Amino acid sequence: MTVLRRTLPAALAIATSLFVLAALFITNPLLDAIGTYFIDTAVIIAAFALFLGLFNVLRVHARKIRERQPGSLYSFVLIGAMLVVLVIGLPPIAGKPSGPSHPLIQWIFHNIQAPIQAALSALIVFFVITAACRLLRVRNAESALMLIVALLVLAGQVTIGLVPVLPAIREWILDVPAMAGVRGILLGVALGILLTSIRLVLGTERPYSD
Amino acid sequence: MKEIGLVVLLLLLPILFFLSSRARAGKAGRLRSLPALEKLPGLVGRSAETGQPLHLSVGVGGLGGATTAETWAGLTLLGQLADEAAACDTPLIVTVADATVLPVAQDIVRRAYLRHGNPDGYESTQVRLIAPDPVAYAAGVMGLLERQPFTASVMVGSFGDEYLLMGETGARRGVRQVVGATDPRTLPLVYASADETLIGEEIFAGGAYTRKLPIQIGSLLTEDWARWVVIAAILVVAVFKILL
Amino acid sequence: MIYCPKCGTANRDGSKFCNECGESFGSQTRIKCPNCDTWNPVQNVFCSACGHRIVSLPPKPGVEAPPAIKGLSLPVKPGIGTEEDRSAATPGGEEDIPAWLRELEASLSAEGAAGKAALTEPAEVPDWLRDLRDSLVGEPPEVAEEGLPDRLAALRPTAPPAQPAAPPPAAEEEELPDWLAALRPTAPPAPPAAPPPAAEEEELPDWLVPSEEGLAEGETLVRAEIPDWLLTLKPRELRKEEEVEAPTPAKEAVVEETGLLAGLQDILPVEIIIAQPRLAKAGEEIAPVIETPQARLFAQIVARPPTVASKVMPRPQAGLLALLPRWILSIALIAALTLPLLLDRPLLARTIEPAPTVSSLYETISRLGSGARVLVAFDYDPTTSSEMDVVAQTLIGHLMDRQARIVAVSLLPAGPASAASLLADQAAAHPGYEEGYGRLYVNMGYLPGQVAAVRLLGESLEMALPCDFYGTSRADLELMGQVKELQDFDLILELTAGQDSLRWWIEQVGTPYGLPLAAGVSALVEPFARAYYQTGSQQLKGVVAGVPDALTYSALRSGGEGLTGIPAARLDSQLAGHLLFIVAILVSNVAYLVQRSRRES
Repeated sequence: MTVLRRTLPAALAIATSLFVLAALFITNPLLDAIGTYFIDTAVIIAAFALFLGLFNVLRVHARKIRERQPGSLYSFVLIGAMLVVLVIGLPPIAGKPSGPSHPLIQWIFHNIQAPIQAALSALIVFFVITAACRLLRVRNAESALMLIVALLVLAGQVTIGLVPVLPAIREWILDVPAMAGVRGILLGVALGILLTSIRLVLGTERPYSD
Repeated sequence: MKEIGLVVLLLLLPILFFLSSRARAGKAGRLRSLPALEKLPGLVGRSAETGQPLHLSVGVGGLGGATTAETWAGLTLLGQLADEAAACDTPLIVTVADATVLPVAQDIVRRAYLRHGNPDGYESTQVRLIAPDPVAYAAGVMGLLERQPFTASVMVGSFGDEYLLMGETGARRGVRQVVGATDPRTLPLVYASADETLIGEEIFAGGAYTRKLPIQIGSLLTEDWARWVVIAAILVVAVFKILL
Repeated sequence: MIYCPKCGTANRDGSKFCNECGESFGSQTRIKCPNCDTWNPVQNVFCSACGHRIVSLPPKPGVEAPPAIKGLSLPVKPGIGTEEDRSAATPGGEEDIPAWLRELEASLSAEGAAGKAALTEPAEVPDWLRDLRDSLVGEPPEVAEEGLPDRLAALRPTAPPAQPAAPPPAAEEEELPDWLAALRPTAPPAPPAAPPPAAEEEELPDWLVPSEEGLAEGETLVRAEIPDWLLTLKPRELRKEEEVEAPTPAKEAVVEETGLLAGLQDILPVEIIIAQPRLAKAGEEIAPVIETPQARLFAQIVARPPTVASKVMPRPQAGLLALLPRWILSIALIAALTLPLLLDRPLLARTIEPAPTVSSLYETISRLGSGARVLVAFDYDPTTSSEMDVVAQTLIGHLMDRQARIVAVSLLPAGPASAASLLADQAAAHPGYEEGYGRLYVNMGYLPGQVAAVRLLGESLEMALPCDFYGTSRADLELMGQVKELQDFDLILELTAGQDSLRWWIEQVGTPYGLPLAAGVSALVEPFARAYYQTGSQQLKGVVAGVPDALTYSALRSGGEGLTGIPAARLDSQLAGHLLFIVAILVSNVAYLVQRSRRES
């Protein structure tokens, strides 16, 4: 039984991966059908995982409220908002819009969620400026070079033509050295993703069993 | 295009097996030093002594999409840190942003405690889903870092611009941060706020450096070989274009 | 205190890890595998990861055991634990006695004479000790110039024998009983290097020569006499009548009446006071006897107040002065970004040269005929909507100007909601579109699956888009009846703030099917998008990146005049932000350099 418990998940994972991979490379109706079926199943499992996530969120924040931990008021607001949106979005009445297209859900989205997300995103600007002031300091030759390049790119983005050559310098910096570095990193990352995926497909990485 | 992909895959597989067998025989050579990975056990020890928890994030990506590999890299490090935390009875808090990662992360932490004979030490609330949206996730982690003192924060996985919200908060609170990311847009932000960084493909080296399994070391070496081949190909094509 | 072997920091006793660097002081709950460095539970013999043996086998007999690992937990004197110290610890001569013991002996010897005198009082010394001492004292040392007496000389080993003593000579063989002769080793032993000189029986003292008195028939060993002192320890119940009775104690000694020690005398009486808990009297002090350096050191350590390592990490105390620059910077940034918008008119007159990517996209859309079918992917969420809405509005507006038929999809769950409001706003501003939902434009909602969804679009539009955002079946939508497959679209416009989704559309749909693809992206994605525009096959027909490009595009739509009104004010706001960034970085560098020069001087 222990052997079955250890080998069955691994065998299932490896077989599924190989089928989907084969469906990608080999044009065959049966393989395509099996591969598509597995991908659809994965989408359904991911959707079900949302339920698990929902219960986890409820459990964590209910515990915070019960134990009156710091920030428990926010947990109360979170659970309340979650329940309100869930109740509104449920499709009990035939013919009426439900889910994201419900007018109330749309109102919540446009007047609460979108502004809050935009505001959080705007906070990044303040953090960027403090991080930039901390990072771009002349400590040695490399940091001095980084400072000069950053100032050139910033100045080149200024939309008034005080110094005509600045936009051209900025273009060159973005197109040549910056792009070269980015592509190098991306190539390395692609290789890392490829090898990690191969290890997953071969079943050498198995968190689901000991 | 598909055929090229298949050819590349079929070429890499035997190289991977060959280099893994060399690693198993102890002929792999030394891996270069990655200070971020070498400092991880020290963070667990420090957390054990101070009694303050360790925070770990596996990124805002999920399993099953384009960010699977980066998320997997974060989960690999989670496995190692959970093992050490369970052995030292260190409090560990894991935050995730994707529901598909939640059960996997919970299982990894639970198994670590079971392996060390301390099943009661594991609580399911140690692994928390904050929010599916990246910015909302970052806001949740910000709140966590502000309200509770942490010894260190290890964040390895797929991150976007929202990382800076968490990184700056941790930096302001004096939390030691070890961060790894692959997105070139995020890397400057990581470099500005973290104490130790894992840049690009270095996040995939976590398993080889911590667990030292032959297949993982072989995988790293295969990456190196493939990288040299790509460099050679680029140079050849560039020379070809110049001459023609 | 425990001193960390790595960084030298002093830690409290009992610490398992260093508070400074986290180095482990040795775990009581786990063992590290020497092969793969995996931590294993302490009860493991083999590593759970690689199978290597963790607990080493005991050393084989004859093989020297490896030296013990030097303890880390106690501050030790230099030299202890080294080879020379270990060899010094083996029993040997005078030089092997530790210094502290020598000193102790020296200090005791000073009072030794007085102590000895006290000990020689007959009343206190047991009989057996007195007898022994008399016998030793009575014999004069015969060393002098004559050297050692024969009896002692005979006993002195002249050289360490390599082998055990040689078996008795054959002449004595007939005297030994058979059972003893059989035990003799059969192999001829190696002759000893220097056998002790045969002790002649007539030279041995009487006490060394085995006496034959009392030997019964067939016995070789005389039954020993049990000394009196040992007899007194014998329980009363087991004593025979003829055995020596316990001598009458000079004093009235307490004879134990009960228990296992019944009948014995000189038993320490039970100290009643020990059985009773007692409180120390206030002010009662026992003066320590500080005679040796070790005792003095101990007294110092005990007298030292306990230093408990802080468990709480010190939160960085940011004073008001430290927070001031951050506050000033934040206020300045808010002012720079919002004031130009409040003015509602441009501060500077500007004419902007549109970038080639912008012009190219403008030309591409301008060439679309009336009724052209365009697939628009709204792949951005509310986080980036403040920037992307500006881009999307101008592009959708231009498409509606050209009377294009728009099919909207999204790879993000929050995308369709953004698309719905934006399409509704633009439709309201273009005659014919307000009532044209389903005929002129549709919102087909969320496509789950990311890259797989894009691939599915290319393979089967019908399977990928069964119904719209509001649940209406595609069969009821007139526009969807005109598009059976992806190739029926004249242009695909990707609106995204992330490079991944842009890549998916190009790799899964644009390049494989040869469909014209254009992009409206955020400023962060511009470098990636530009690379696709610059390829030989021009995988992107045009790119509008960020607010500046979007405003330029708007200027092109309005006839190429200079920017005025709110769009120009937005550019002023962006300009102010950029300038503030540059000034802040320069000021922080100046402050840092001044601080560093002061520190160095």
